[in-house]
Amino acid sequence: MRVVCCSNSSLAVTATLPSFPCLGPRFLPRIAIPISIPSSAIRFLPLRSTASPRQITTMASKNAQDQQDSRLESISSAIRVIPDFPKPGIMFQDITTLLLDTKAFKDTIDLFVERYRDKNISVVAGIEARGFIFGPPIALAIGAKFVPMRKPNKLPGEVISEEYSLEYGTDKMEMHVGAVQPGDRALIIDDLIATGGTLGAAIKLLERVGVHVVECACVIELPELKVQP
Amino acid sequence: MCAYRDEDPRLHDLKTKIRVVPNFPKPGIMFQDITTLLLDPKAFKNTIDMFVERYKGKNISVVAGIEARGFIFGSPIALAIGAKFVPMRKPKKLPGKVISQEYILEYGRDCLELHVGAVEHGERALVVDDLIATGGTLCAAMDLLERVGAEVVECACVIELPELKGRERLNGKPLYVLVECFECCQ
Repeated sequence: MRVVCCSNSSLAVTATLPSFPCLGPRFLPRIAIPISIPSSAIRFLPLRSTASPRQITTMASKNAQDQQDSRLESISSAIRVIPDFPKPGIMFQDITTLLLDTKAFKDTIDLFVERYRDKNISVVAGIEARGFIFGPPIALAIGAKFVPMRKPNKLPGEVISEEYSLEYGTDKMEMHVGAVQPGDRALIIDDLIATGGTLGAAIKLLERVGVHVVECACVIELPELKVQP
Repeated sequence: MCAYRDEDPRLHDLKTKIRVVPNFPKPGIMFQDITTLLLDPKAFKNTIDMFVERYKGKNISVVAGIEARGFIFGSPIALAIGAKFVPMRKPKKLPGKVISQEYILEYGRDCLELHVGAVEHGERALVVDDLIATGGTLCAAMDLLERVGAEVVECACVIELPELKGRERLNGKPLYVLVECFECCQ
């Protein structure tokens, strides 16, 4: 099986790359200098193709990243692809099978926690509903608040809203007034980033109330879908 | 008015973190909002710890969390006790093959779904949600798990509204809650 890797050439990458740990020698970190998404979004891998069934390379690696490689590989292989869901032509990346693999699920959380624990993150914002599965364990482990970002009319009490575009039409995301404070340092979590519309709305909501969005973190990226302007 | 059991000091703190929002989602309901609990890392951790202390070492292989607030509590519990996490979802959210269970609401019906193959025959399961009211949703969740041959060991919720008698609806299955709230419906 082979990894389908997307090259970095499609992104404008400038400046010095920070020395974040690479999640495996095959997987090059991709850093987007923001245009529309006003924070540095380092996207996590494994990279997935929407066009063809998932393929993974087993890399022989002799360096210190062996441990990370093997964790990533089992995480990746635990994700199930469902063709034609929710509609024909979409290869749906299903993380529920990852949740059934207790070691791989724990490894997933550990990888995020290792990255964020010393970054002074005070808020983990999880996007309904699959972000509610990954966000809370990360928040608990790093000692941050957990803030759910929800579809309309789910949160009781006073909320602020941000509308965002879908392929057809728009949707809305809500957050509680007072959940976060100006100056809070936030991490946004979802299971997957596709066009980036949902994550973009979450960033806007947090920044509107003076929060600094440190990073967006997802288990899966679909790099062939462009970020929305 | 809320009561707490066993005088565990962590419970008192937990109770003060739950916010009551009047007339949500409709007039007369005093909504028990757990999001304020999640804003206090220590109280949130204590909540999870109390469940984990109860269920660790009980051979529970599955934690089923009910969409969506059950995900927030169920996922950390599953990780801590080394169990699988299985989301129980509203219709059409889970991709692939599912089984469904319909249940009655105050007005109308709703439906809960579980992935085929997520839970195996003979597995010992815990069902988690933030709150039990009438017990309809928890009942549907238990039915689904039992239909695939799992044994539901217990249902666990942060909050119970005892006046709505949800406990009685669980067909004798044990229910464990941290906080009871009274006079929440007018």
